[in-house]
Amino acid sequence: MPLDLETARAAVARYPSPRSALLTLLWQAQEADGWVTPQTVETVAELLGLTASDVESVLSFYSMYRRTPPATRRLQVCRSLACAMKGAEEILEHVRAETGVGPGETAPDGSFSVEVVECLAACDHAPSCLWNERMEGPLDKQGALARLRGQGGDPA
Amino acid sequence: MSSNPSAGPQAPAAPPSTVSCTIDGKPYTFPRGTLIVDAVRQVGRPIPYYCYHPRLEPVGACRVCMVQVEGPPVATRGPIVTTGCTTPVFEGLKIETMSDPAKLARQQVLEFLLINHPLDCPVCDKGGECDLQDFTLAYGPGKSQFAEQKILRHKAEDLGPFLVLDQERCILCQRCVRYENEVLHEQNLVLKERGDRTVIDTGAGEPYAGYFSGNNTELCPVGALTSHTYRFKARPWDVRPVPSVCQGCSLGCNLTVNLRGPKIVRLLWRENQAVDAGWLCDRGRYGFGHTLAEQRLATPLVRRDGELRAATWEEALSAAAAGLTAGPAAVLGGGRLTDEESLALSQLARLGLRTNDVDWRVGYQGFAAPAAIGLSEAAITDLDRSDLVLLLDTSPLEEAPVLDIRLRRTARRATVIDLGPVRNLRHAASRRVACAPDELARRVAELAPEFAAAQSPLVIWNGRGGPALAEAVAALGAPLLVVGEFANARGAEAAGLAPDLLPGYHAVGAGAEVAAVWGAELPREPGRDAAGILNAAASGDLQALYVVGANPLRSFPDGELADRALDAVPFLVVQDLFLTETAQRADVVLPALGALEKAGHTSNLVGQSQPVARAVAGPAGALADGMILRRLAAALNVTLADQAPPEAETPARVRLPEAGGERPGGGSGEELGLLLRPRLFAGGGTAAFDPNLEPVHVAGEVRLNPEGTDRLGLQEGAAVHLHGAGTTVRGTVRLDAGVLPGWVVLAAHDFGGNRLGPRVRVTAVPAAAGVAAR
Repeated sequence: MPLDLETARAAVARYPSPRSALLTLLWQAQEADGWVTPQTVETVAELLGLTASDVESVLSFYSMYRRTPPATRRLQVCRSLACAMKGAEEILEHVRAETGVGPGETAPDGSFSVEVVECLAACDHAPSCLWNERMEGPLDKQGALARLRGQGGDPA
Repeated sequence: MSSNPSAGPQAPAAPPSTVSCTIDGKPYTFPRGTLIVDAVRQVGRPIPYYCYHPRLEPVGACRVCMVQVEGPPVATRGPIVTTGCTTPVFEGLKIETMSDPAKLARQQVLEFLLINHPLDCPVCDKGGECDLQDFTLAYGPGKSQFAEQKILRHKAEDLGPFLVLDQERCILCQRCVRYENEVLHEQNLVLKERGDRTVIDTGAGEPYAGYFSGNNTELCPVGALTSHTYRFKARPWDVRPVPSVCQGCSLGCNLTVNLRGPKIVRLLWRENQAVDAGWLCDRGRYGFGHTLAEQRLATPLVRRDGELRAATWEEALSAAAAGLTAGPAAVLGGGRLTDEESLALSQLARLGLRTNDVDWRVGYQGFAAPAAIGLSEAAITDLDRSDLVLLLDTSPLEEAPVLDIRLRRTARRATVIDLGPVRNLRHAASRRVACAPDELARRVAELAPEFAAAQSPLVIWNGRGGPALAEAVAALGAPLLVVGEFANARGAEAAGLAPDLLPGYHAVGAGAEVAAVWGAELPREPGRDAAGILNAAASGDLQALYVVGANPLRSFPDGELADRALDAVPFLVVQDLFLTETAQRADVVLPALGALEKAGHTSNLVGQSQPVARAVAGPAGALADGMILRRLAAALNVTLADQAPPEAETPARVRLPEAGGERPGGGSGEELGLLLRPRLFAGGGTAAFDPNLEPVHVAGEVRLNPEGTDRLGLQEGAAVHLHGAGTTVRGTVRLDAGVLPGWVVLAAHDFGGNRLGPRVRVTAVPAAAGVAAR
């Protein structure tokens, strides 16, 4: 499902200058498609009266826009102080040792990906994480591995 | 800065327009708003900078122009160091460029700029003229405290036909990014990624697509953006600079030729605000490869036993003189000569060949000077203050590219009406009025009220179209800029290379002053224009044709007529750099020198005569057109005059060709109307033979509106045949929504398009046939 043009135009109308809606539109497109497709870059550029190069430039600045299709199961582990002290690094190491997939990598078959992120503001659940963009915690290493392998119930 | 930024309507209690301050202890006065970096430069004190450039907006990115300031706005804090490129001078400000805090700040910035730099100066093209090298030597710390691993970035990335990018040499001053953004509005180069990983690149890593990439190599203060043609060719201390003028189009941008030994290694801009605003296009900058092209003619050729064979100049000139005087003769061409050579050709035709059958208009352009159709002349800089511009079926981008840069700036604040069958202003807002060529005169007339209301209107036109269109333009009453089809069309017209004009815009038949200078009686009957000459040749009324620096088989709108004429004329002399399609038909071929190989003057599109230097020698067997004319004149017993005849007080009007180089009628369904429109890298002058321009050469390009092309099975890049007037031409589809539906556009001067007649059918080349053809 690509970017909804009506929602996009409504977002553009909220700003005094169309260019200001760039991040919002890219975010909307990513929510719709799971990533920012090359077609999105063209569409957004046209909607805002920008060049594709300009959109590309902004897009590459921000690390939270995905430039490739997402894996089916996505784990984002917090590595800030509280979570690190509660074993986040250990979990990441365990996953790497068992699957060969380290932080910032995707399994060769595209079934899952592992990322590290900064503080999720859920230190009381340390080590906390996002499972398919949904907050969870505390995370344990066996549970993490099982779910990455698609065992033990995928989150919605 | 000499201009006063507070010019314009003054507020009642305007502050004084100048401020006084001190620089390194000496008092100075500057216009209010002057930036510290400009102030320091003006008083001759040294100041380093990378991101600052006089032709770009300030950005404060590189932080190396640090100066110490103290004064009223910062009094409570005592002296501070700040960037000179983003801070204007204030009343009472004390600026210190060489104080210890300023020196230390610059040292530290330079140390940081070099952290990830590869320090590969010995193999870098910029070495010797690199600001990073020079300023580090002058202001840097001399050694680095950085012991960590440098970030490695791409080396020698190929950015398309002309540019090479070494990302690791880049210091992210963003001059290129700002030039693309502020000057071109194209954004071919952008910043990507973030923090210490930031790089310059094209948007999605595709090749650089615009016409003005080369300016980036001169803007770049380091060795990050360089060009394929100059890579590893020379060191700046090895090259000899020769100032000259580009003759790639009628604008006449100023440039500096750089020679290493006898060879041109590069061309650089030579800022002339009134003409080029400091920029060059890629055709102008890189189109010097033809000077050494293998196909250059290096010896005269004379046809013997049906074959063109090498001959001596004596043989060739006596054969030419004999053939040209054996019966009625005519002259075509001259738009690529210098002013002096045009005058010589004009005199040779009138006195040597006793004819007024002379015409430089071997293409679509009907006249060169606004005065020639009774209009007033605009200056190029008028674009900077115009409030209404009519772009009349003319593409400055394809015909005089650097003019388009100025027009883009105009379009930011003024109304630009882009009128005609093809959209021509692509990188700026404009009011597009699409219409067929035969509706142009009516549409122009409709603009009269708007033009009457405008403060400072202007028309840009390439002189294509008949007398009716000229009349409609005249009725607007606005000054006119005529973009020329040939580099020195203006000089050719002024020299009287037209059937009804003599030098200085004296009318044929009323040229007593010309006759006085030339010392002979002139033929009094007006001659025939290019179409008339070709018709006369085709019907056997002409014995000989002398074609100078022209290739009517490609450039004349009715290619079929040109073909018949050249076949029928008993004797043909062609003077050119290359063995063009026309030269291949000649009985005598006279090898000429190119624009950078001879000295003289060339007139640009506003009639400004600019000197050109002889930068390189050219092939040993070729002669400058002026020398050839002198020797041919001698063979015809004519002594060429040393001085130009005086200008007429009232310029004589030139008669425009009725057809105006335009074809009637559009089409629909299977039949489409054919338009021939200029493309920068098409054509058979020097571009077709220039190895530097080979990657961007346009040939067989078929532009169509996407509407309805599915039905015909024509998608982007498809091989097609165009059928018309019993001829078939092969091409490649480029879909372009800027083309009026019902029409197809081929590049003017591209071979074959002028043979198809006014209407064509476009059919897809069957895939199997495509394979077989290869």
